[in-house]
Amino acid sequence: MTTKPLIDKDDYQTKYGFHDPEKYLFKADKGLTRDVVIDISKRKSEPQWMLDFRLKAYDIYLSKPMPTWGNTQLLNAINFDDIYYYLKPSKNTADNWDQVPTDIKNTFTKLGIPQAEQKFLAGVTAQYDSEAVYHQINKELEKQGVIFLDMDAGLREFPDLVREYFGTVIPAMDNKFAALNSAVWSGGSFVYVPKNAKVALPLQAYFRINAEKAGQFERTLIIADEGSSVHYIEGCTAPTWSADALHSAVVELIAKKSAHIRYTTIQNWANNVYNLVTKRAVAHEDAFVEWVDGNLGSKITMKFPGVVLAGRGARAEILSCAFAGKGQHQDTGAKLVFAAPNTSGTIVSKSISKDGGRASYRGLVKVYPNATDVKVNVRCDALLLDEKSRSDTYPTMEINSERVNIGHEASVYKIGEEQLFYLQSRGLSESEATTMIVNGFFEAFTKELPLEYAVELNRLIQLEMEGAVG
Amino acid sequence: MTAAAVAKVSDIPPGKMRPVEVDGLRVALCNVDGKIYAIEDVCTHDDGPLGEGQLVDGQAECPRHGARFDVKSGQATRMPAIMPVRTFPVRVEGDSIYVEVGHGD
Amino acid sequence: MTATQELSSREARRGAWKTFQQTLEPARTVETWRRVSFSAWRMDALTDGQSSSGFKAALDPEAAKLGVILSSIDEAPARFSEVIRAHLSSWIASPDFRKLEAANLSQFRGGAFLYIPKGARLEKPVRISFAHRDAYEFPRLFAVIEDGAEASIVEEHFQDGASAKVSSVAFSHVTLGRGAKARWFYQQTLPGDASHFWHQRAEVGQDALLQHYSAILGGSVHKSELDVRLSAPGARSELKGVVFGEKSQAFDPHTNQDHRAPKTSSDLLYRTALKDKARAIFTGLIRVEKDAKGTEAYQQNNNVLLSNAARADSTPVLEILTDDVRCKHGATVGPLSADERFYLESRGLSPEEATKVLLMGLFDHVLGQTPVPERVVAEIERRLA
Repeated sequence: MTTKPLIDKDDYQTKYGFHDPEKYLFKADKGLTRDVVIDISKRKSEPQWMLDFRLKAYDIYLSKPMPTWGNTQLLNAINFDDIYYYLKPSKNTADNWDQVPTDIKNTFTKLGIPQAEQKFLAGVTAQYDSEAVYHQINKELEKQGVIFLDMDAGLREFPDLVREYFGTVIPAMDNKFAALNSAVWSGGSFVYVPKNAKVALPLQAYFRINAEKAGQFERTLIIADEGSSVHYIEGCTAPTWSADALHSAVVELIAKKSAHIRYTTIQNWANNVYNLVTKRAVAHEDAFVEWVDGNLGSKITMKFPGVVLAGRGARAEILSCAFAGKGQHQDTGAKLVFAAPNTSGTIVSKSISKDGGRASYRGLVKVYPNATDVKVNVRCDALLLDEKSRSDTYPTMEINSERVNIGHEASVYKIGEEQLFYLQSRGLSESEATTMIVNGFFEAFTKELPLEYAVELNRLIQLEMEGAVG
Repeated sequence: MTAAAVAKVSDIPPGKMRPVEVDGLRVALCNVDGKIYAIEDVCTHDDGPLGEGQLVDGQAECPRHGARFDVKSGQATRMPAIMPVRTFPVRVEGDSIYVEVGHGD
Repeated sequence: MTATQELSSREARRGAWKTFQQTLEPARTVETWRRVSFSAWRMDALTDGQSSSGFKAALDPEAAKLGVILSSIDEAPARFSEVIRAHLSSWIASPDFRKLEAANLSQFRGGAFLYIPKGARLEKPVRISFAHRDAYEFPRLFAVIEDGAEASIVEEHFQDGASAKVSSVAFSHVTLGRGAKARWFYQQTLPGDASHFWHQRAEVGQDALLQHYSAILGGSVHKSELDVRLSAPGARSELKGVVFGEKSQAFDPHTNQDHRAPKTSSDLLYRTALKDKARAIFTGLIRVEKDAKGTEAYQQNNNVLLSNAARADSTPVLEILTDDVRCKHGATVGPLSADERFYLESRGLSPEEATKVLLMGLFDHVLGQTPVPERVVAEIERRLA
């Protein structure tokens, strides 16, 4: 099994054999109108309140101007009329074993389902089907009372639960792209973990069935009830081609008292994708929320995972890693808002820019007056691999409480000549030495990933460094 | 203690809000079913102009990011706001509205 | 003033007055005006030809012997006509500040012109005092420090017996020639009801060093912009600052460490202490252009909150366009050191005395350096009494 290197747009179509858009079961007209929104809701047989929600969001989307900050040059190049806002794919599964990302394949083994691979190699099934994996995971979850469905099914089967929380962390008015998502959302995950249930295995978005895996407007809602714990993983390291140029997802997390949610994302969209995401969590008393966010692909990603520490004793950790290669802008960051006493948070951001890529960090640490005894540490490191590349750091602190300990530190640098010289004098080529240094730079991030992902991420970085680009 | 009338009830239709300035402080007057309430016209999320937003079910909605506050208690009822907004005592005499903003803390 | 100077000055002023009238007030949505509203400098009652107090300065005779000139911009010696004409006919600041700069350019009276010739080494500091008296004040300063010169300059802004609230809009342009060394002290101790806007653009030449110190204490609203351009190889700058707020004061100091040439360096340390309901928003930009290889730039902003109603915002920004750099920034917010306080109080100091000692220690990087500390120290002590 070979791992495919990061390759450019045209090669994806031929080598990966992805279906043409024409094979989709349903395709709305291009452009977004009120009728398209109504149509989406009708096709999903949604309750009236959700249709109302979508339509209100549509009005908000129209009324909000485009952002005047960030990479406005790229943002204003989006042609909103030239986009399909609803496409239901025929069957978004791979047609052969080679197409399944390696980190996912390793999951089969870990889950004890090597037979899928064996069956496949034995020619018994010509198709890899994630259904097998999904059912395996779900047997365990059912025992615990955990709900793990795609968002459409979640709304259908648990309408009251969804209605209680949907849009409460990120209302449609939050920003233009949240409004867009709120109007045309489709797919994404709905997870509910009951009190004190500890979900041992990470829930991986890849194995949700009956929904677009590479959804444009995914909507994810995770509720961890008191004392529970869950780890959710979205994405995979394999480069992911998408016919859709615009991806605008919304992720809302609610960690109730003493609950723990870890949300890991590895994004490696192809270089045609605009990836604009709003992610926010609310951490209640003694809860702990972690965002582990890896950004490797896309033309531009704008994503600033946030945590609002709303209850005493709440904690948050945001770990962000970004690789900005040629023609890419990774505009990422983190937000921590402290609204209760005895809370703490850390942000670690690591970025690498290469071949003219641009990595930006935008962060916010806000402490309200009632948030006393707060400790925050922010650390941003940016590595520039050549003189064409660019790094920006825009961290903001707004501190309105005196009994706090807030620290922020950012450094920008290049690989030291001494470091390189040392490694080369031990037999490594310049490229190998650079890769080793880069891997070391990202170690804080990769060590937080499940092993299958970490191994693949390291391999991917190696390929990037070897210049295996298109 | 402020005693000047800041607005007229007839200026604020039921279900609407009006921003006014009282002693240099921005205040939003809200008419909920005929009764007048006063809250500080500064959203606790990001300093947005609450008074320029909509009144939804007795909640002031900030036009910037959709945060909501109960106008009677000042409590934040929707994200991205989490901290309450200040409320002020209101006295209505005939058609005149008086708001007490107090001085200092 | 020579005929040519008078003519160009009048033309510049007339053009500026028109620009002032025609330029719209910047909206709150403009990034630079998001934090502190422009309304503090509305100047509705400003009429053309309104007076403004100018500056007070006395040049040390030793300095005069070395060829140092300190005069009003309008009265500068004829040989500087061209240089002054160029100064008056171009904008110092960005369009976000156009309206204010136009007001200053059309209404300043006198203005200070400082010229320090090549190689002149001044023993005593040059003291330029802007005593604010009228409702509208427009301090203006243009300093040219030639190659190899060395000097300390103290620029003070304070109120002198005015009864009305002062609205102050100051613009300043300083250039350092090759190998020049300047220590610049900007000290602002206006009363608690003034509005003060200060913009200084400093161009640091090849191998020159600018050591800049700011003491920012006064006004109900203070907004400043210190734009340091390291535009030639080897240019260096150290920027040190102190902000101390009380009551409901609001401070919005912005600094630019703008690296445009190779092997330049800058190092910033700004410290803020706030009591009562005071608020400070520090924004500092380190920008390293493509050509500025070998740049080293550092920025550190420390904030101490002395009450729970005080608020400190800090946004240190890095924009780096080349890889051959070493850039770091840091910001902290927290109380005064509890350990140090314990030590002092255990030696018999009252909590107030301990606070004073700790704060003076915190501010020493500026207070301990200025040759003219009196007004600043007196103001700080008054607030800590």
